[in-house]
Amino acid sequence: MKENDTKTLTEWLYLESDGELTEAQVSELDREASGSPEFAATRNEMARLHEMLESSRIDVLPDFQSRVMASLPPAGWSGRHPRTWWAAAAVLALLGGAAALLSGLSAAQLQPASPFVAAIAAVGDMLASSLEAGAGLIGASWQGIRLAVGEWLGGSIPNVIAFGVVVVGVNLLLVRRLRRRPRPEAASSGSKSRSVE
Amino acid sequence: MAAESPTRTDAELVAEALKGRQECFGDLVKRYQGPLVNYLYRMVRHTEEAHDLAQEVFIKIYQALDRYDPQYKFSTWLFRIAQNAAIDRIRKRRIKVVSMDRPSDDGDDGVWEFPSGDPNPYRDSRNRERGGAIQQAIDGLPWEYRELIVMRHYGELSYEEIAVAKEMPLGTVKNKLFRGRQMLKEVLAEYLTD
Repeated sequence: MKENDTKTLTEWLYLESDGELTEAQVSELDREASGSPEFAATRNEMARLHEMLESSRIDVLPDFQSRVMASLPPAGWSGRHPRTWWAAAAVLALLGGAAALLSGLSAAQLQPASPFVAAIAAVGDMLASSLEAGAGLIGASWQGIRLAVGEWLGGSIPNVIAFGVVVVGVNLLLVRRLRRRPRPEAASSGSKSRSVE
Repeated sequence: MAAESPTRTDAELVAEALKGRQECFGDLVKRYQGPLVNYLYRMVRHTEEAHDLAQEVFIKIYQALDRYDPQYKFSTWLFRIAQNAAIDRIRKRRIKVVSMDRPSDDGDDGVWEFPSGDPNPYRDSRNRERGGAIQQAIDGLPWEYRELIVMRHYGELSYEEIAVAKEMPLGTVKNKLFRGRQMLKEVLAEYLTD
């Protein structure tokens, strides 16, 4: 090591306590310290500083981990995990299979020549009927609401104004609620970490 | 960084937690609770508040766990969130940076102690004094140095982890830590000699 490398050696002193030096670099420091009491004293001070900082750490409360675990809320991602929907999917598949089987059996009695095709057709008919019934129900509901509102308003100006006020009020409440919603910090931090790290 | 489950990496624990094994997230908490609480303690200077804040950080992490990208270090992600949380808390509390020549009026300040199993009144008093001196010395550092010193010595982050968390070149991190320690060494000189 040359004389003009004193600065490097001083920097190494600061890195030594972090374990950032190679064995060769540590040996270089040993050699320098053995020849210079001043350097050895500085090295000793650095070691003490490191020790002071390390020993001033506080202890974590003994129940901290259990406290954290007990306070974990249901996370958004847990709802998207397969374990939350596989049971429902399995039940649906089971019911569908049973329906197909039963329909197939009944169709087979009528048309024993093509039971599989009859089963598929029966399931298709069943689904079509369900869709039709659902659409009918929705249509009827809206029709009912439309009739009820129309009857209530009945051309009465105060009723029309009251209705308008209610609609505007509900919209304002919705807007206010949306504005008050807390910013999802964790989510944004997570995204940030991905983009930056 | 202290490790409770050395056989499993952070990324593996996250993956297991995402599969519904919540105890794996518990392992992560155990692994990082010490550095995190100590980091936050040095930032907000209040034991209870540091624990509360650390709990909030772990909850935030848990809620965003599915966004963790395993190609990056979990610790840098954790400490980025912790750093933001600490800064928010400091802003809210309007914590004043304590100068080197003025005693603090905050509740926890000045009562920093070193662990001691020895019932020696002189030593206890000396430890208390040293604890207070360390905190005052750290508080007296310019923010850019203070933050890195706390991350390194209390958050137990490596130079590389600090560089990523602070978005700084590695050389800058080393240089700032070097400067920060030089300042600490000067201020704490009386405790470092025989």
